[in-house]
Amino acid sequence: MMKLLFRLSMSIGLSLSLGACSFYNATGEAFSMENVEPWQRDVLAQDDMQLDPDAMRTFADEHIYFSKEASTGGRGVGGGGCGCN
Amino acid sequence: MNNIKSKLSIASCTLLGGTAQQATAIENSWDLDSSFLYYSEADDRVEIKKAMAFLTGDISAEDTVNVNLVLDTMSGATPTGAVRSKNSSVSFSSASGAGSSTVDGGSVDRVNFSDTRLGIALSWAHSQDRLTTLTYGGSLSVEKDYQSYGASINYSLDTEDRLSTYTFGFAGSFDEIYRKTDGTPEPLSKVDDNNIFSNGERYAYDFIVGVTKVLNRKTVGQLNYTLSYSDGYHTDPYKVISEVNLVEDTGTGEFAWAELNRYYEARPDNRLRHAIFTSMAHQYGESGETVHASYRFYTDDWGVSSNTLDLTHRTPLSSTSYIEPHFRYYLASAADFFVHSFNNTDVSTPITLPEYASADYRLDDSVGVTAGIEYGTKLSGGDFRARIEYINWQYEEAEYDETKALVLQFSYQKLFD
Repeated sequence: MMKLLFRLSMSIGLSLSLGACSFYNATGEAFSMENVEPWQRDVLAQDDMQLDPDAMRTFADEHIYFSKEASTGGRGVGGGGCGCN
Repeated sequence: MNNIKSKLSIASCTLLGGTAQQATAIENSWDLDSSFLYYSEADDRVEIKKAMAFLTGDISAEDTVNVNLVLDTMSGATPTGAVRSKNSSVSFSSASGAGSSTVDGGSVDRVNFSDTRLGIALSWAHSQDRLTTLTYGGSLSVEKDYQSYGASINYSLDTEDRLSTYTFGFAGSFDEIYRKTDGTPEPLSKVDDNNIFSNGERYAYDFIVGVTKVLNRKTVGQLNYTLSYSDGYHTDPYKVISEVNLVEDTGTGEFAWAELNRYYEARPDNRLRHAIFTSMAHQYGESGETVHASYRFYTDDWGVSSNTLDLTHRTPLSSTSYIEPHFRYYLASAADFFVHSFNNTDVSTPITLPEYASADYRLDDSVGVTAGIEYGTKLSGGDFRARIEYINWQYEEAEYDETKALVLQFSYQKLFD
């Protein structure tokens, strides 16, 4: 059952990755560079366009992965440690 | 007007460390985000209930403060690093203060624990002028066998066109590590000898340099480099390593590890880490679907290197709700000193111990996959979010070669003018 879930997770991830890649290839706009005037930043100002749109979720995830994995860091500095099991 | 200006400012603002909450709150005087998280591992292993509250407020036109409170309740069982032997009887101190107990073979490879952790973090962001912000932070984390104190400072500089932000940050922390019942065991000493040293201490220093850039009207990207150095006690005082001999069960004919001795683990006294982290947010389509993607490369002088990919895709269901699948993939190499056990093929000869060794599954070659989904909607003037995720970690050699976890989280955020 768990192996099945693992494979399912991989499939979902692969689909998301492929979807994202094909999307970028199809539109070609994600990485295009352009000057953006202040009055053109309506989309960028939306909550879901922030690089960290849900600080609470990110904080919780960082704690989980910090506790369970040997790698950490990258997003920022600061915050308390823990003696995690 | 001030609201719009603030939002435009946010759009080009670097979101690093504690500044994320700050940026969200600028558009309103006060922002309260509360959350409950339930984390449960299969096979009656670790269970965590986490309550969190983040309060962010503007105390002047130039100053924003942020208070984070976290209360964790942890219980369950965690692998000790010992093999699942049927032929041993040893004394072992439980993790996080469950006391010392004698456990007859078969269950010594995992130990029950319970603990409560209180974490508090404060930050104060001050706008020096139109383009620069200094953010000061402090944190405290206390549990029965671990205490951590930290401080940080971040400097961010916007370009004149507010399309790029450069960030520099430094953080320092001091941790004290011990077992509730006593201090810390002598590294690589026999568990039976019960040689106990004083509490462990560790200092850590983190540096970050980053840039955030608006690429176009619908894309913003970020690139960070972090360097971390820690010095002091890095060993886990509860983790052990078995000295084993392979024996055949005369009844079944199967081979199994027979445990001869058990040693406390030992890790190096310092660690140098590097991480390169990049992320982006992009919106497309008429309905405003948003993709968040991030990638991190990590390496350290313990021999651990990893690649981490994280993807979310948010699809609006209406003007007030959305659904967001999440996928994360983690692939890491083992630490140089990771061992499954000390294999003694000649039981009449004492083994030669290495300088450092650990059987902690987290230092093994590993792959982790997360798949989940989040639903968000407006509710009673605030934002409600609920998510469910499944995490599976698999390890190459560790005695416990798999960890399976379920995550549930419910959050509610309210803005107060």
